[in-house]
Amino acid sequence: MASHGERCGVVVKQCEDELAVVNMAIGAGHAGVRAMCATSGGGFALMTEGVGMAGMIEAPVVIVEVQREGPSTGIPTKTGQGDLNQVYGASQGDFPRVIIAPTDTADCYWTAVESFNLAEKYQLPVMIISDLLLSEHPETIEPDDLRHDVPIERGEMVADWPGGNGPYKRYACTPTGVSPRALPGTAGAEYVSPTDEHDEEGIVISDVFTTPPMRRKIMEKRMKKMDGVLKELKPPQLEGPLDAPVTLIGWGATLGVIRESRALLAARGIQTNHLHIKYIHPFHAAEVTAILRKCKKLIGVEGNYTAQFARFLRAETGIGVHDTILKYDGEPFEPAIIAAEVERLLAGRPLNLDVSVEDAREMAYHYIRTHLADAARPTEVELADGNSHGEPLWHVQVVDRSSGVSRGQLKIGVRTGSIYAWEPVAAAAQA
Amino acid sequence: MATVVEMPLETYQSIIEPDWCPGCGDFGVLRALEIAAQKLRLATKDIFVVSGIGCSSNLPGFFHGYGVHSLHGRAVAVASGAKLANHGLHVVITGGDGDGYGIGLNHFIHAMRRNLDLTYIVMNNQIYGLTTGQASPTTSKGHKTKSTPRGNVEAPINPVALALVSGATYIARGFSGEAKHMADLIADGIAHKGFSLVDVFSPCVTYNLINTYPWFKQRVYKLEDDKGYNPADMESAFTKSFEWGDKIPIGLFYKGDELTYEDSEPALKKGPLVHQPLGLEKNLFESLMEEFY
Repeated sequence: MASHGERCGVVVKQCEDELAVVNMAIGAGHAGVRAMCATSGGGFALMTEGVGMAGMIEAPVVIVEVQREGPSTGIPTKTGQGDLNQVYGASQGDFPRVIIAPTDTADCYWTAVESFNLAEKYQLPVMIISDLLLSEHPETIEPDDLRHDVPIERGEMVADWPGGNGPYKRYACTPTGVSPRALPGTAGAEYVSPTDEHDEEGIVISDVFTTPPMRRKIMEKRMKKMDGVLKELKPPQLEGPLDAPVTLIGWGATLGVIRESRALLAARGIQTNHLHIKYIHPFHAAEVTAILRKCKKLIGVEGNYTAQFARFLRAETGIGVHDTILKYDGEPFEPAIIAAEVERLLAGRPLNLDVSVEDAREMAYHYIRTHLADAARPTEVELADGNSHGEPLWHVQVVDRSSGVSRGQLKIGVRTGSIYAWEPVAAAAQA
Repeated sequence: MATVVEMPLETYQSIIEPDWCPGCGDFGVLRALEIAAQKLRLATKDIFVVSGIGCSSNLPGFFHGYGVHSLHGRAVAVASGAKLANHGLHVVITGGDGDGYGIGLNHFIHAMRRNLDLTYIVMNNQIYGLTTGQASPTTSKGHKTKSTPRGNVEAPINPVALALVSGATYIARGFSGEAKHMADLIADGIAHKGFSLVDVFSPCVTYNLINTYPWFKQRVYKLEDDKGYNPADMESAFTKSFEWGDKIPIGLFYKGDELTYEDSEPALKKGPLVHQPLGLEKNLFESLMEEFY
C-alpha cells in the first residue's frame, strides 16, 4: 500500500504503537480526509479508548480488526473468530458505531467502500471485523467484481459559515442526529471537539455544571444516528429451502465454507438452510427474529470457544441456538468438518473431544521437534490402558527419521491430551 | 493561511472563561498563545489546537480556533493525524507534563524524530494538578507530594535534553511570569518548519508550593541575554539543558534545520491531502488491477 501512496493520493504511516495509529487516524478523519487503520486483536485492545473518542467527537474513522487465535498473543499465525466480544465491547460508555464482518475477498473491497461512506455520513467509527484467513489468503476473483466508480458519500458538510448565521453548532441536535460537519479550515465555523461531554457548540458540560437535560439530549442525538445507519444496511436473507430441518447460522468469513458444507450435506440427503450475518452492529433484530422464528433446528457455526456470536444473537433477538459447531484450534473450518458435525448433531451423538489417532500423531511430531531435534517420526499408534494415569493412552511408536530404527514410545492421554511419558528404547527394554 | 490585517487579541479568545485557579500559570500560556497568533496574523480558521487531558488541556476550549480536546496522552497523535490530513493548518498542541511526559511520552518522542511541523506547548507545573497534587514525571527529587509523602525518589524527566536527543528542531523554554517572552517563543515555534517544543514553567499555585512564581523569578534568566550563546550549537544546548538550581535558563535552547515529514511525504506534493480528490480514476484503477494479472 505504501508503494502506491503517491500515485493514489494516500498517506500510509506505520506508527510507534496502536495508540498512535488509531489516534492519528481519528485526527486525520476529523481534519477531513478518509482515514483507516488496521490491526489484530492485541493492537485493537490498545485502540479501544480511541474508538470511544471517535464516537464522542463524531469523527469518521474506519478500523479493521483482523482476528487471530487468542487469547493474548495466542496463535498469531492462525485464524479465529474470537474477538467479537472485544470489538462489540470496545471502549467505555454507549456511543454510536458500526461493526461489519465481510464475508469474502470481493466483499472486503465493497465493505471498505461502504464503511467509509457510513463513517462520513454518520460521523462515527466503523469497525470491520475480519480474520486472518480472509485477510491473508490469496484467491482468484473475477475482475468485474471490483469497480473503480464506487459510490462516495461524504454526508452533510458545511462549506462556509457566514457571520450572520449565528454560531456554528458542530453538534447541532437534529431529527436524524447527524450534525452537518464543517472541516477545520472552514471560515467562520471554528469549534473545538471535546472528548468530555459537550453541548451543541462543543462547549464542555462535564465539570461543575453538568446540565443533565443537555447531556440527555446530546446522548440521544448521537445514538439516534444508529437508526439511520440500520436503514441503510441490507438485511440478511435465508439461503436454501425454508422448510429445511436444519439452519446453519454463521457470520463473517465463514460464508463460503458453510455454503460448501451445505452442498455436501445435500448430497447425503440432508437439507439445510443458512443465515449469514455481515452487519453485526447495528443489528437487524426484527428481520433476523422473523426469519429464525420460522426455522427448525438452529446450529451456530463459529470459530471460537464460547460461541460469542450465538450469545450476541440471543441478546439481540431472544433466540438461542439449539447447538453449536465451534472451532478454536487455529485452523479454518472445512466443509467436511461442518458437515460431519451436523450429521453428528442430527444423530444425537455427543461431542467427542478426545485426542484422535491423527491428533496423537501430530502431538508426537511436536514432541519430536522440541525434544528429539526433529530427527524422528511417529509410526504406529495404539490404544492402551492408562493404568496409573486414570485415562486410556495412545502409545505412539517413534522411529529414527533416516534409519527407521525404533527410538522409543510416547504416552499421550486420550482425554486430556497430556504427554505423560517419553520412553526411549533403552528404558523400554529395561522395563 | 496568514491574513494581512493584524487581528485584535479578542479575535483569539473564545466565549468561555478559563476555569483555572486564580493565579494559575496556564493563564499566561493562553495569553502568550493569543499574542503569538496575533503576531503571526493567523486566521482563526487555520489554527488547530489539540490537547489531552488535565487542567492545562482545557486550553483549546478557551481559545478561538479549531481544535480537539482529546484523550489523556494522545494529543500529539491526534495532532499528527490532523497535520498529515491538512498541512495547511497551523497545528498547536497544548497540555501538561503528566499528559506529555508521562502517559503520552511515546508519541512525544516519535513525533520529534518524525519532525512533523507541529508546535507543542507543555504547561509544566511539575505536579498532577487536576487530581489534586501527586508527583508527576517532572516533579523534583525529594519533593513531598500526596503520592510521595516521604519525598519523591524518582529523578525527573528533562524535557529539553530529551527533545534534543529525540530530534526536535526547535526547543525552547518559557515561563508564565514572562508572557511576552513566551509569546515570542511560541510565535517562533509556530513559524518554524518542523517540530517545536516550548516547555513552559507554568506554576500550579494550588498543589505545587515549591516551584512557585517567586521560586522561578529568583532563578530564571534568558538565554537571549547571554550574547555568547548560539542556539544552532547542539552541544551548548545540551550543556544548558542540564543547568538547574540557582540559575535556570529560559528562551531558545536549540534551533535546527531539517526537512519536515510533510515535505518528505510524496503523497503530499500535490498539496494538503484534504484538498485532493477522492476516488480512483479509471485508468489508475485498471493499472492497479493489472498488478494482479
